[in-house]
Amino acid sequence: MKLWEYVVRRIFLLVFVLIGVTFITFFLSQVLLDPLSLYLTEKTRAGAIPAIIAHYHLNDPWPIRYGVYVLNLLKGDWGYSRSLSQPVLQGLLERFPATLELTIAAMLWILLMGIPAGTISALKKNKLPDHVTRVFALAGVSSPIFWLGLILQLVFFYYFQLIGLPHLPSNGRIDPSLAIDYPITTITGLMVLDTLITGNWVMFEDSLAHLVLPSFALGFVGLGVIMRIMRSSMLEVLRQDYIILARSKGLPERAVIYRHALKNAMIPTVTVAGLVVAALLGGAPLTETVFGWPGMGRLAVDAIGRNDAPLIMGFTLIAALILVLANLGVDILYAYLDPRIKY
Amino acid sequence: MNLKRSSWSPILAELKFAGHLLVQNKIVLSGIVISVGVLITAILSPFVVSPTIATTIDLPDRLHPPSATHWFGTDDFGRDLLGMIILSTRLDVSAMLEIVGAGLLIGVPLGAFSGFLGGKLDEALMRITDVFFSIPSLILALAVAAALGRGLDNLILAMIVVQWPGYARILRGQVLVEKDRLYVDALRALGIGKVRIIMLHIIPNTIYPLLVQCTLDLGGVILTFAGLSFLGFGASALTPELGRLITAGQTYIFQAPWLTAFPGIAILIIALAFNLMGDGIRDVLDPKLRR
Repeated sequence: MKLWEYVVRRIFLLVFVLIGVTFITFFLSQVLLDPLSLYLTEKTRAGAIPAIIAHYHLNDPWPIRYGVYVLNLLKGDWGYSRSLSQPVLQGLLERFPATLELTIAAMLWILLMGIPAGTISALKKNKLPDHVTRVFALAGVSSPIFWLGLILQLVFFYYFQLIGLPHLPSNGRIDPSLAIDYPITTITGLMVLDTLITGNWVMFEDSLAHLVLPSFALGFVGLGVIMRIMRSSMLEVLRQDYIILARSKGLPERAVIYRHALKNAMIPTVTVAGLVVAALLGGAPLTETVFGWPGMGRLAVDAIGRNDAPLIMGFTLIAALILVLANLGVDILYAYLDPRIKY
Repeated sequence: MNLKRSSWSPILAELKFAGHLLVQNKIVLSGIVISVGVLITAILSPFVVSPTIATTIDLPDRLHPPSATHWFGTDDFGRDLLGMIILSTRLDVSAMLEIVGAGLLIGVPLGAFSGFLGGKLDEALMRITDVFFSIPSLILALAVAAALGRGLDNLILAMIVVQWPGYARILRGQVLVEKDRLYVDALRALGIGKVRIIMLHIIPNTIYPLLVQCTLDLGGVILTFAGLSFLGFGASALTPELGRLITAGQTYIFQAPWLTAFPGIAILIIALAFNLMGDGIRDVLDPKLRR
């Protein structure tokens, strides 16, 4: 099978998965909950109720209602969020860049720390550095992310301030009072990038500082996964004939590791990227809540307190969509990176 | 070997040997010791600490820093934090065991029959698990819990809904390998029924990957459970629960940091112990890694 045939097949399967996901959100919001209540507010006039029932086909059997639900989703009508007083899709998309920025930064932490740590762990197998990274990796997987966030705030915001050290901000994406004098022009919605493009150095520094703690907390959870896979794949690569050849040619150890081994050892880490994306998305509601980060995850958490089901289901759908596309991207990338892969 | 008897007994003997190997690794051993300690604490907690402290409000004694009388300090209701953490362990650990246990009870038979029978049923079940895997588990649990409404039972139910597909998938993959083995043909030739073959012979032979997975899951489940409790699902505010304790402590994070620090460390230790144990079990049960 050729690569494009594989891609087409995967996209076909993806449609199936998305039908399943919409069925779950449909079931949760329309079957478990009273569907009418989703569209009513205190201000709804009694006379308007029959029109609402007719518009959303609420008295029809569920297969028809499911069809209507999916059609509305495809048209971009994801329902109306009462807590936001705006359409669900619009509300989520407005906060999408904040979550994206946080996730990208967390990913950078994971790669910058995970790949070197995994490599060192493999090179010093069963020695002290290996044990240290193993404990570190397991501590990452075992840390309650919301707790870690609070402790980071306590140390790097409060205690650093207390003893007069430069401290990191603990809440939000920027300092609003600073933004009055240095207004940010929104281009991509990623504040660090926007301020960099427009040369707004004050806000660039500020938004970057705000990003450090939340992204570290979020990334710490996925760090262990990358560290461990990097370690085992590096160990695997170091046993290969071409490494023995490189060494017997008399190449210095540095060249053997960095020129020959590292690139090949990094390929398997791509396969777990899907897992990492899932962990980061799942961590978003907790991290964003703890750090007052105005992203989609915090929006969903706020929606729970206000019984805003359409918003929660909308967030679930977006998260599934991102994860499914990320997995598709990972599989295609892997097929591209490793020509030995057969489908 | 008498094929009419089940395959459980040789497996149990093998597990005993694996247990012997496990105990030799110091890191894994410490994981096992802490896990057992956590379980004992959870079981004995109502006898060690009077459950009434959870509902006894003592405002003059609130927010005391750690001292000789209150080792971990007191919370905003004046309750002894160490006592609250010990009481909380029971709820968190039992929720964790319920969720993984129920997930196994649903996922294992479904996966086993699906793999053994094959065909359309198998295809359908695998597509269903694909759907569950395409939503990050914490977010799916959050959506299910939101639809079910608040409350401890609903949170546990929501997390079971998220948990079972993983086990179904592992079991199915294992069964696909096992079902073409000679011993299954022999059992069939002896006229033994499908259910009996699956329950008494195939499942015991697929137990290792499942055992590794569910030990590793225990740590993850307690983190998700505490996380969702922290967000306000599950137990009500006064109930001793570790995530809830952190929610309460968060308000006083700078004023009384011990309220946040200690319950979090408790969660970290529990999750770490089960992860260490799972990591060790995986290494021991994989014959390639065994020396």
